[in-house]
Amino acid sequence: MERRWERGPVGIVLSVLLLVVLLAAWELSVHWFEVPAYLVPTPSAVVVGLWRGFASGIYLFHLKVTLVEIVLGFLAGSALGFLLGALIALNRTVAYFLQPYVLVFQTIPKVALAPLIVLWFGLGITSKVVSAAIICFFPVMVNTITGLNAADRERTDLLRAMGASRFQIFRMLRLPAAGAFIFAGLEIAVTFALIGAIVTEFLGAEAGLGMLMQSMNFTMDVAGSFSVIVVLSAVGVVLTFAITLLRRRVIFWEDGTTDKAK
Amino acid sequence: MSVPAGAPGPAATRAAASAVADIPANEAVAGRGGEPALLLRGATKRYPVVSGALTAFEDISVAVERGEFVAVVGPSGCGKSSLLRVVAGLAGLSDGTCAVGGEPMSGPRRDVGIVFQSPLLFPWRTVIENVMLPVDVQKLDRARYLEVARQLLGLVGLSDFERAYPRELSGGMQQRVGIARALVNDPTILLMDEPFGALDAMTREHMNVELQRLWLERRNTILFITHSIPEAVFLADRVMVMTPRPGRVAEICDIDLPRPRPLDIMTDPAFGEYVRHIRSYFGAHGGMD
Ligand SMILES: Nc1ncnc2c1ncn2[C@@H]1O[C@H](COP(=O)(O)OP(=O)(O)OP(=O)(O)O)[C@@H](O)[C@H]1O
Ligand SMILES: [Mg+2]
Repeated sequence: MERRWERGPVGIVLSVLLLVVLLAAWELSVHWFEVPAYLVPTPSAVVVGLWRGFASGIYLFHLKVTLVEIVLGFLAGSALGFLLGALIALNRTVAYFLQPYVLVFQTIPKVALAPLIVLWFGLGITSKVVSAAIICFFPVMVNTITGLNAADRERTDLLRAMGASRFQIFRMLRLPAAGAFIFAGLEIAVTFALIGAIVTEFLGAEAGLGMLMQSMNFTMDVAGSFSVIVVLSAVGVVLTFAITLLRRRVIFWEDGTTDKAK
Repeated sequence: MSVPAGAPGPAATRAAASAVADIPANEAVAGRGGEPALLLRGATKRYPVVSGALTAFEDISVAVERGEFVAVVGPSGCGKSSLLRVVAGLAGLSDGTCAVGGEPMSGPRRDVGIVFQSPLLFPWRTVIENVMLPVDVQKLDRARYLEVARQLLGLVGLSDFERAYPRELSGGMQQRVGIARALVNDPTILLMDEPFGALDAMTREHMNVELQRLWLERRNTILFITHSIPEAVFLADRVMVMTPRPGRVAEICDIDLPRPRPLDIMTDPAFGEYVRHIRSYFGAHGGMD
């Protein structure tokens, strides 16, 4: 009920109104206080930058490169995260040997590895895919482990009493019961993939929105940088929304809330 | 044992049974004697705890005949659920033996069905697919058992909800799906651990009537755990009364009331006498309703 109210027409009107007010205030204060254009651009300049970028086809070209990096990195990192998570959740011996390494590796700030990754994998898209994958890996793995261990004992006993094998219990109970957790991990992972790809592009790339932004910074094109950030945010929103849509289809029985009762 | 193995039911029951002739006939209906459905001898269960061992139940010996309805009552913590888990093959005994159909227990068996207090439906399966769960697990012929599942849903009055998901159902409806699920592969023994404990009084009485009808039609062997003495007397051929922990058999009480028993049999003096008699075991403890 509350959710519905938040998303209701009144809420939308208020949100849009707030945006208009903020943008107007921004535009006016840049003019009034005569802020130099190389520090803070006006919103209108950002819009012009966006229009020019897309009209010339430059943004689209770089957007494609960055998207490919994000998607490949996300798919690879999530798949590996899921597989290793499943292995750890299902096999005590594997869990026993891997857990310490996983814990140590988890504490490394993954972004700090980006310079090394560029060094090892070069300026092409490979280094970005690797970065994105590494950063995606952990949230998916951790959530997979938690999710696969979330199945209740009573349902497990029920299946055991029917004579179900370990694999059947995995397929019929533990995996579907882990769905909500795994998708929560994927939602985090997809935004992480974006961060991984962009940061690695900053450090050295042949193409991509991060590289484009870097070159705009050199030429003091702040309005251009802002417009790229707008594009990046849009990418983030679209990707997260895509995962949400997928979640509703795959784990249709969940309310969309994290309520795990029953 | 006032109700011997495979005692033929009243004529009305027979007719009802033939209405569901497609459901594989239970051996008890065919009137075959032989081994008891469930045989416990000196069954004892201890749990290792910090301070040594906790005895849940002790020296339980009982023979449940095929097609018999046995209820188990006893104070909380006397080991009823532990006993049921042993018969389900989910846990072993510390001492004594447990045999189902003449074979010693060595793990879960396909011919034992189980119903717990909560329905434990799988939210990602439709009602009919929930009923089909044992069929999927045991890789039985789906086409054939789909018919059985539909008939069972009809018997529990949920034909219109075949394609619904569990969250669209009330608690009582969910529990009925759980019962249909436990019956779909025609288990020889049905284990029920306070299956109606979470339901309100009215739904509960209704479920008791339905369960009796289902049992009269199917004649599975039922081991039924409950906290309610009237429920036990209403449903069972025999009521096994247990002592407080460590649970032992205080008495196995024959319930000699005609079937099918209508709900208002509860006002019958004979019924009241059975209830009073069983309750006398718990009077001092006051732990039973
Ligand atoms: N896995 C276990 N480990 C240790 N102790 C256990 C375990 N399961 C049950 N017990 C203990 O065994 C005793 C009997 O438990 P059980 O669940 O069988 O009782 P119950 O008769 O079903 O009780 P209730 O009527 O409240 O359901 C209790 O004292 C309980 O604490
Ligand atoms: Mg219990």
